[in-house]
Amino acid sequence: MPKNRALVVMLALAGALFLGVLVVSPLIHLNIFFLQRSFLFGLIFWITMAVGVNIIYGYTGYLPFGYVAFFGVGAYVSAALWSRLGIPIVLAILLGGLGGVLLALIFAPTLRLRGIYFSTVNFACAMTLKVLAPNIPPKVAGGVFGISLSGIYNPLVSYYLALLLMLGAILTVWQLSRSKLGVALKCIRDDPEAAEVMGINVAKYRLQAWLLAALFPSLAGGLNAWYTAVIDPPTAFNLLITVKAIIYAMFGGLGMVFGPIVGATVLYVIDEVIWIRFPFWNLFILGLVLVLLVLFLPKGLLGTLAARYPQWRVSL
Amino acid sequence: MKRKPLIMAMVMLGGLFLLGGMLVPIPTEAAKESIKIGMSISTSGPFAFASMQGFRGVQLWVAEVNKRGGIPVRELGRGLPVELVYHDDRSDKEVTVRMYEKLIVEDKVDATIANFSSTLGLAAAPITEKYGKVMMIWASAASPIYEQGFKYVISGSQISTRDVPRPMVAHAHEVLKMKTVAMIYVDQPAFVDFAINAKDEAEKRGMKVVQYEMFPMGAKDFSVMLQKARATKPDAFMMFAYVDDQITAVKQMRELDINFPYANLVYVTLEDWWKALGKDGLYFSGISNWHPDLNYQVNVGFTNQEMIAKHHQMFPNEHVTFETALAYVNVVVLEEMIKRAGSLDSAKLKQAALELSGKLDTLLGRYELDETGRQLGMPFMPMQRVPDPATGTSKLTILYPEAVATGKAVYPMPTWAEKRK
Repeated sequence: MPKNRALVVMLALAGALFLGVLVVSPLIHLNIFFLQRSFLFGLIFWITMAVGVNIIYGYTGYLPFGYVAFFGVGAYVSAALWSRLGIPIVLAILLGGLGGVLLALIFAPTLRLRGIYFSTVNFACAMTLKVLAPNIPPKVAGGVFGISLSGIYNPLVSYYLALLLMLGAILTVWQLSRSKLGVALKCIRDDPEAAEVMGINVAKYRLQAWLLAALFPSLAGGLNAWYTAVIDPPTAFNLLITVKAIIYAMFGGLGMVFGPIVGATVLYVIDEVIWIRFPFWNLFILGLVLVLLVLFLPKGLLGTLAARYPQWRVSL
Repeated sequence: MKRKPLIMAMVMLGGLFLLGGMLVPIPTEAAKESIKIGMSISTSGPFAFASMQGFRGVQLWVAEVNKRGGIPVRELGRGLPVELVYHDDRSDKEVTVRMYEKLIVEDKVDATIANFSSTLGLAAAPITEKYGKVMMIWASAASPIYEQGFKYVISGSQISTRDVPRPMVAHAHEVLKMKTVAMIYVDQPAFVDFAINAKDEAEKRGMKVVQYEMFPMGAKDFSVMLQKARATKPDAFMMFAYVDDQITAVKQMRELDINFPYANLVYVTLEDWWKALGKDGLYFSGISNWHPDLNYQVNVGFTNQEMIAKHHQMFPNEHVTFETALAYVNVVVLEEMIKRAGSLDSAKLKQAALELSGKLDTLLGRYELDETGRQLGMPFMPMQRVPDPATGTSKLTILYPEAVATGKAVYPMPTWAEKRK
């Protein structure tokens, strides 16, 4: 137990330092690339996405290849409500989050599928939205041009709201991991039939996780649109968003609170470093790094640590 | 008792900080050594090819300007060399935002150049506006960028997509007397804008648009759309899409033996068209604002022939494309803006940009700007790819307007069967 307490204190200190950097750096304009607001916004965004994926993939085992759909819908709903109806942007973003949850409800019947079937259908749903988006009349959603939010461009406020969202997502997962719902979800992930036999309402709990997992990327989509001041179909439904969110969460360790945070932070920084040093080779080198990580750390960083030191699992 | 040493330690620490702060020299602004121009380029992703073509145009200008001793800046009482600062945006909107912030905040550039693509331009513009930096556009062609109220966005060379397709429709109607046209286009901002305005121009001229169909980016099978186009028997077929899509469409036309009397596929003017299709690519038309034989009189920058020669010297394994020409002329205009303004202040540069409208003759034609920063000059011209008996390859004939036309269209185009003879 003394060892665990030491770990908890270390995690708390590291978390406080990390949070301090995220809060203070944008205000003091340091001339260091990794402490600049735009770099940190990207980091916050990817942590939020990875934490969101962890809820549905890490806790229930459902791999959402179409995860970007929530991001895209959140971004579009927020941008359209602001630009077409004059709704204040923060309210528009919240409604964008609601839009993502509604989309998740529409997709909910696909939860009856399992494994690769769910993933494939989920992917198809997202790609359908990608094709539909530019065909929505320009008066509604900007058509292929998308929607510009340059009129309310405010990177500082959108940054801090994104930070709040990230913290909200982390706290949600923290609560989940200690709740009856979290335990039930892990049972469903490990063996849905056994969970059913034990009296766990599989469909109900799975749906709750699915809706929760949809909320965070939808809100992140709205904030991303506000921060970058433009949203259009290719960027709103970019498959790379799904891929990176999943990989970052896996790399850190699924089904753990801090796994996606560590995974997103480490891989995002590695990605940036590779790209700065090797701009022409960065995708190739990044792919190589990912292959090596999957080969040698299949449980992810924290998952491997927890396997070595099982007494730390509770804290991670 | 324990508090006293602690308080003393804190007071000493505070004193040390104060002393240290007084000893640290206050940095004074160093004398300006260069004019820093910043841009992002795409080394990967869908915009990489076009971006790198344009980048070479900018590099060509930097080398030439510095050979001449830089640009005189009246306010500073001397000429300054140009320093080009660039970062990779990976064709990614989020990265573009970061890069322009880096260029302005960290690299402290004096002015910026937009990258290829309207989406990236729209992402970068709020940043440059926020920091009050001029952004020179050479390839963000979609009209919406000029409708956002940006004060410092200036297109030095690229006319907006609103105006690009008008000459090709005008030629089809006025010269070739066509009455019907079929159009297909990819769901990307610039091409949608082309299509909207081509349709608009056609209908204004009393032509009937018999097909008007959008396809998603990434689509590779155009057979259904092409067969539908054939069924409508149009006088002209127009396709607004990236060069890869157009090359694929021509191959599918050949496989399905689909013939049109006239087909304008935008990127026919690129060398890659000939490399990819060879004789199958003959007699198709495209549009460009640049041609190797273009011979506008200039009063700023290189003539077309000079630019081609210098480009070959600097990049012997590369060809000049219209993107190279666009980017080159864009920075030539920037140079003139700096000279006229006598300053690097953005408001003065914008004023200079407006005052120079109608006064600069470049290798792409006359520079004309409106208040929103939209380029009104340097029109695109329809061109047809025809056999070149001298080289055994192909060449481009400029079809319209008459003032710069180098020949008449081969109309109707030979059918696939006739081409095989």
